[in-house]
Amino acid sequence: MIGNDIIDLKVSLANKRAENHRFLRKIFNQDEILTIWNSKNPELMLWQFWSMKEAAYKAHQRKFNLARKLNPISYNCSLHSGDISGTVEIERETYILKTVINPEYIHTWVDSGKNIQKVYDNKSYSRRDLIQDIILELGLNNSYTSISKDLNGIPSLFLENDNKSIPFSLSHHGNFTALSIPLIMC
Amino acid sequence: MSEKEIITRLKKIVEPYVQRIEGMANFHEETDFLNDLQINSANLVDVVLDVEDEFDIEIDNDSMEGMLTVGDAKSIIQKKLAS
Repeated sequence: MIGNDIIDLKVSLANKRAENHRFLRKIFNQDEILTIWNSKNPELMLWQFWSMKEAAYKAHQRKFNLARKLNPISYNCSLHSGDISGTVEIERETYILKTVINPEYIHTWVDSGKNIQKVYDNKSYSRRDLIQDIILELGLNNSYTSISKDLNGIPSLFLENDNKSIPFSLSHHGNFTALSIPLIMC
Repeated sequence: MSEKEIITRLKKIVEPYVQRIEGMANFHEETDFLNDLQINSANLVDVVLDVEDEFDIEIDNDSMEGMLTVGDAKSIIQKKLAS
């Protein structure tokens, strides 16, 4: 399963959220709120959970071909030891997530064991670079490719010569674009 | 409250969160908060909170789930105002 989410911390940390109870209650369950408040850096914890919910949402929507919904509170997060990976549960489905946190961004993706992640700075990002990177990373021949989106807005890379589609997940926020792509497809 | 007034107030609420300004020129019921206005999903939660304040209503989680377009928001506001 595939889904990812990037958070530009410069944008998200500009507005303090961890003390905004109304905001928290629309998004997080009681356990998540307590984990946020008890963490060393509540603002970061909040956005880590948010990115887990978003990445799991994308995977879940994709897996079951669901229409869009604004239901972050239905996605229940828990952290594994070490705090950089965790689990999200939704409607009896479980997704394992991995997160990278650095001073500039939080990037979370659904960990299927075999996938590649890449984060681009939007100042130098182009769609052509993205396609080139996917071709390179997956060891594809440079056949004619195009990006298409399905009715729910989920992107795939279409390889015309092989008549094959490779789904991927792309997330944009602030100054960053992040890609997650499964290796199992090829 | 007339539909027109609800939509006018709604437009004012969403304005600070819009990233695709062109989308505001044609603000109507089909306008999609994420696709047309490129409001990010965390800010869409802010919109929900601002709508609660502006109209003095409570938007429960089930209603929030379906708040994806201006028309969705309008219907939810109308329903809550009537109850």
